[in-house]
Amino acid sequence: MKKMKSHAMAIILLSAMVALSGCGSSNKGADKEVSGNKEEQKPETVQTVKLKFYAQYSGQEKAAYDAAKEAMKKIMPEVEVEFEVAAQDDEQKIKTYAAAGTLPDIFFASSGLIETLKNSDNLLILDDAVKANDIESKLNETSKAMLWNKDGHSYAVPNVGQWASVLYYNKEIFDQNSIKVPANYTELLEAVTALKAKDITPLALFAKEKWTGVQLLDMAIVGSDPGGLKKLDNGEGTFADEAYAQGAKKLEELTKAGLLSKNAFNTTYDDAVAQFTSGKAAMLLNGAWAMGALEEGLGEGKIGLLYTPFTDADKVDSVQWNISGGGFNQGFAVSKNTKYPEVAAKYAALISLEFNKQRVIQIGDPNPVLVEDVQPEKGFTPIQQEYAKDAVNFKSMTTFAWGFENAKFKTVIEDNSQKLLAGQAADDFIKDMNKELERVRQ
Amino acid sequence: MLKRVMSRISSYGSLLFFVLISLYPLVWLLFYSFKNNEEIFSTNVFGVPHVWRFENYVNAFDVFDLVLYFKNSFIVSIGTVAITVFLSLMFSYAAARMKWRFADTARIYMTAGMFIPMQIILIPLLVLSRDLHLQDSYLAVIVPYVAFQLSFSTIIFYAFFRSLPFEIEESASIDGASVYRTFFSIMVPLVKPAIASVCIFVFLFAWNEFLVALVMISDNMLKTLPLGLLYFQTQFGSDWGTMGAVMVISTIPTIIIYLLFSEQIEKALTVSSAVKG
Repeated sequence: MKKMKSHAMAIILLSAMVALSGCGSSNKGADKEVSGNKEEQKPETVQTVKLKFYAQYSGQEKAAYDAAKEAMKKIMPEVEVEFEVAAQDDEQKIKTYAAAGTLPDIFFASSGLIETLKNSDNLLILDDAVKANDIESKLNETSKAMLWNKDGHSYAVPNVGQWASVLYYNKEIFDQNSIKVPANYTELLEAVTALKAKDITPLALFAKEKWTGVQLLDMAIVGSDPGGLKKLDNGEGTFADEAYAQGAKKLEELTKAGLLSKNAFNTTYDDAVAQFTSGKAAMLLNGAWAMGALEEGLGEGKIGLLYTPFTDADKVDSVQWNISGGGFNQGFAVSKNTKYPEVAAKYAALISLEFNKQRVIQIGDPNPVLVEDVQPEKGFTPIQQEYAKDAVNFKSMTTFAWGFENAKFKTVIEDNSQKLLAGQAADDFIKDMNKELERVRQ
Repeated sequence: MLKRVMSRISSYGSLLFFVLISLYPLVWLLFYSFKNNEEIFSTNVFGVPHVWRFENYVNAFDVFDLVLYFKNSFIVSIGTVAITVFLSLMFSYAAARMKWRFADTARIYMTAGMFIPMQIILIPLLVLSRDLHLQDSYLAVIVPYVAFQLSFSTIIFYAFFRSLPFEIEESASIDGASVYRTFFSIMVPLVKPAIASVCIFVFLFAWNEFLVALVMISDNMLKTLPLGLLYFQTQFGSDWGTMGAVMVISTIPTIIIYLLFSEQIEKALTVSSAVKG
């Protein structure tokens, strides 16, 4: 019996060793493409070029990626891309890759990541590829600005349009409880109070992600000053300014009236969506990119959009289209250490446009970046039509929190806006923020 | 009589309560694997599913390459366990039972590994694995796992070897057994309970580890289960029900491993019973 056991142990050990030694050599092909071999120092010719592409290749966008990849085969048949699914890990993995010098050839980079990697000299400048392929002429007016970074270079071609930050609302809840859909701040406060009285969470905020609190504050400010928090990020203005102080005070008042649920700071996105679609919460804050998925969850025609419900009643007409949210130079960036800089740059630039086109066709994205008129396969849903109609009127935009360029400011505003939403007095918030603004601008 | 019944009820009642509390998370996971997001988060968080959604399990196999991720997790976990146990057994024996100049220093050096957090060494680890051409092979995760688990397992084995009487080895050596013979035929069988506990701990660690795997593995063909689960996470929310189904399936091996070795673990807590006069 004992012998049997020791034999079994030995066999397990041996089999593990064999399995391991086998796998060391199982991926030699892949190894070559990563580490490169001496022969590939020739100029880039017709031979197949393999590129690693780190992107959000999952969920509803997968179809758009696949279709874009297929379309690119016609334009650049020599390129073979291998997608790696990007982790939802707050850019931890991609930053580790950058630090270790093992960045994939092409990867999705938010504007914050672009700033970071620009400073560490990890990004390839795409100016030549942009000019050679005449990218700018293919972009519509609102998207052209997103092509260039503030330093005048392009590090990524925009692959999605500028999204507004939106308060989605469940039309049925407002109808059934005879509550008026708020068009200005006074009505918003009334609606929050009425909803709270009926035991419905007025706003499902997934504040576990800190940017949502910042966005809510930005929306509250934009009703009075179109510059929003972006202006502070750029080093102008303070919370002593009328519009900013007023925005903070409005949020304090709404919080006291019971705007958020008690556990808002532990609420994840899925959790908030579930509350919203199940009718436990009347409103939900998110970017307009989520409209398709939310409409699917709630049912067509049952969801509405609010852009500036924080505006004072007397100013609604003049500031109605000052929007919170926006876009910036972000998209598919290219690693500076790629072995095929020219091919990768051209591919990244062209697939950005193709990807956006396919987003419209496959997902019905009502927010294209292209001049070319593309129609979705299944037609627009009611809410997508509504947004497309509104988007034409947008006068100004700010940014989403991950678009802030001053990393210190981003941290400070994220932390302090959470405190404000947790019940801190607006005056204390203003005092704290002004002190912090001085510090981060030094 | 009544007193005895009452005391039984109170002691068993409290134990039963404890069992329920301990097992409920597993039951909750099982329920949750049959729900959709709305039920999980909002309408029915703790209860039995209103609708039993078996399609979550179908999706787990269709949408999600469960078999591949399972295979990878197994290879990585078993490889890590085998190498860790093999190396730490030999090292602990040498450190605990042999007299050599730097025995203590070497042991303390090995133990110091316990105090190094993974996050700190991620970047050098990535550079090392690239330079050693380990990337895109299972060894990219197995080698760091073994390195991290060696300190813990050597501590356990060292303590066990120290507790065994020296006379065992003396008599073996009088009978003409070599060091290797003594080690493999006599000492290793005596520390079986410890081997079982180390196997469980190391297996669970390798089976569940996420961070190193996330950074070291980029090839889809090599992804382990925790990485595979990322597939369900998108910028637009996640399919938690199917994730739950995958988690239920991936929990089964760990439960089996525990059941197989649990008796040995109990023995491990009473090591002296392994050595009978």
